[in-house]
Amino acid sequence: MNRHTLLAGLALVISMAFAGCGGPAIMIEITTAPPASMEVNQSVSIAATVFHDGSSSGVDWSCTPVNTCGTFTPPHTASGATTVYQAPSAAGGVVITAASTKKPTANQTANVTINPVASASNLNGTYTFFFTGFDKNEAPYSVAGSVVLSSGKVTGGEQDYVDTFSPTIITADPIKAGTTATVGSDGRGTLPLTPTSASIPPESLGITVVNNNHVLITEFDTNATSSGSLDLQTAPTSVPTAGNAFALFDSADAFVFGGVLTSSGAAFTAGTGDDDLAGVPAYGFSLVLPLASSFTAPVAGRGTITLADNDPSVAATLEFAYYVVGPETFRLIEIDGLAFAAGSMYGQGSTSGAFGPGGPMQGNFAFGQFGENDETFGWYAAGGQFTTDGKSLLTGGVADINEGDGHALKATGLKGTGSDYFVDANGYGGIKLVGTTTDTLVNFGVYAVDPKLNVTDPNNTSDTSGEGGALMLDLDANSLGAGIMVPQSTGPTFSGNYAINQHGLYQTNTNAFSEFDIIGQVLSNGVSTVTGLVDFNDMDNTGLNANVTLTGTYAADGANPGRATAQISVNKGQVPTPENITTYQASSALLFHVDVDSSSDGVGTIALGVLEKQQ
Amino acid sequence: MMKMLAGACLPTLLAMSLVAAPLHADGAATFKRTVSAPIYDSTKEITLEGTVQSLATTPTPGRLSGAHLMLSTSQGTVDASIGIYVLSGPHATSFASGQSVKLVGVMTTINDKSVFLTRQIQTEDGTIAVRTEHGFLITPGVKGRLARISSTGGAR
Repeated sequence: MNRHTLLAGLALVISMAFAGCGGPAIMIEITTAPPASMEVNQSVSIAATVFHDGSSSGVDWSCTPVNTCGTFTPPHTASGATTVYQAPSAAGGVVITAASTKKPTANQTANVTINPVASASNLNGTYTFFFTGFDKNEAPYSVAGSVVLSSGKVTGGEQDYVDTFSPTIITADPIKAGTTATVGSDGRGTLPLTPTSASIPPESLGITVVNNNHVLITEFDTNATSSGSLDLQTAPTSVPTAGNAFALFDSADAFVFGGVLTSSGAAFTAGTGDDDLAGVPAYGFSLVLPLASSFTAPVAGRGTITLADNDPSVAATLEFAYYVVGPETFRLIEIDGLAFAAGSMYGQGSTSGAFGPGGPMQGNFAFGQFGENDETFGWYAAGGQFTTDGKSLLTGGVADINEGDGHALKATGLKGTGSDYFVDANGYGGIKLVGTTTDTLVNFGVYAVDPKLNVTDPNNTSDTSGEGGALMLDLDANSLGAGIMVPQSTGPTFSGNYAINQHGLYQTNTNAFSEFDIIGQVLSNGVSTVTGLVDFNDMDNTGLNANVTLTGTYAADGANPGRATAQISVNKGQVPTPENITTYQASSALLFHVDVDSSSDGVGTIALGVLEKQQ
Repeated sequence: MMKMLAGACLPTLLAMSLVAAPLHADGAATFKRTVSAPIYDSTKEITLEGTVQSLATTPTPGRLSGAHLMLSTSQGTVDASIGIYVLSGPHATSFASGQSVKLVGVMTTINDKSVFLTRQIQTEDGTIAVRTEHGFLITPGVKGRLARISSTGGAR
């Protein structure tokens, strides 16, 4: 006999005892209790039953500390009916009370501990970071490095910094100890980095913790604005082994370069690549002949990789510093000044050499893409989803593409006659979109990654829904860019706490445009709304806007499951709000979002971002 | 920009010519790419001379994002897109109504409207590079030394 049954029986006995004394007393019991601990903003259904209330007045729900203990929807229920309790956004202890509406003194309480999403004290170890964006002179810049954290306190690290303005290329610059990360209950916080070189401005990072191993970051200061990630470094001696996919982007030179490389563990032995330099693409050239690609073993998680661009019309070897995240994930930044490319390399695992148009490249995929083009104000963003038949054809799909040309394409079809793809055994592939529905985006390079690897959260092995997919390059005469495609899981939800990031540019009324980045945290109610706080670096216009509210509504696209339209408003600055964005959901843990505002709406914003579920 | 990589010497180039055919297997061998015609076609470049009628920075329905010079020319008013980097940053340029300018670029039609994609602006104070020869906007700062040996690339 459990406690609830015992209590109910006891209530019955007591009511019988009092049968001759004017009727039994009203009693109440929380029959569906909340858990002993919950995460901030988390929701749970709870219920209480009232006994001996002939008026059936029901239950009133309340909690303490008043105003900071959470909410009940609805705050009044019938006896036995459920209400949804949502925990507050701040951590701490909460007491939930269910009281008889008829007789409030008849009540029962439940204690709940509200835990933070994350804590600085849980940031321990060496983390590899990478971010790219624009400096205060609006010149592209990139940074890759590692930082050692002890309960959030910086104890060391190093970084490679490349700024195209001068240019400035600083390699393996030590990060000074002494600064400390802060993390709030919602996972948002700061991470100041102090370079040793005077040529690198101090970097104040805005961060949002997705989990203790994975953090979204931006540079949030007046020196630059950018976006990237920080991931726990799990195996600092790792080198590329077996098959590897890579994709690199250099916006200063309008250059993308990617492909697949086979490694013996000591050298790259084979590879196939693509590039696009300022609108002149080349496909399917060797990455090892006649110029060779190679790498050195890392020291303290940092090594060098030389990648041979054997496109006959380029013929160059590019040198990169690489920082290890884990055995299959490396962040790359070019340090030779020949170009200024940066990006990632991912392993292909046990599937190396065994890819093809079927298998892991068959099914439904969501993607995000950001790049440059030659017809508009220079930049585009795209998100979408498509289905492959496992052989050679795209059998369906839609995308939202904003090229800043005055008419953003919304839910434009990707299935044109002849839209097809291929993936070779080494994971090297391509997609061709046929028709005029995708503006300048036509040819893509596709480089498959380990079907067991989570590209956005490389250390995450617990959520298999985010695993696999490929790196993508846009390889066209009129546009070029980089992105990723991730398998879409079946029946994903969008509910709970999410880290949000957005990177882009928007047109102002005065100096033509402003680059911006947003990082923060939102709560999705799982139906139609998101709310939260973000840090908004509006570098060229209103400057730094910390802790501003973000609110939004969204609606699923019934015709295209996985796609939703949304409007979000950032309560500060001049990013035209509400922003019209479209989301493409890969899984419950990952959504891409692309801004679809254009001059037709009286605004012009080009931006891409992600929503990642905090775990 | 036009400097060749020191390592790409003649023997290397000769060796490359022997392996210029793409190395691939399976689908790549038969996969046909769609080669798009460049919207910014440098073979159609022209030079426009005129005076600045106005500078437009406000988003206007149907018009390319970014700044535009409305230019009075002998052929009438021309809408010239000048991208996003000319008016801001450390080398920001301003334009006055009535100012004489010479623009190099390509006239094209986007959204059923004629627009001049400006590659270069010449004023009495100097020349401003807006786009590359392939039409991509030039970001502030420097470009790398990576350059193509030929203009055709490896597209097929």
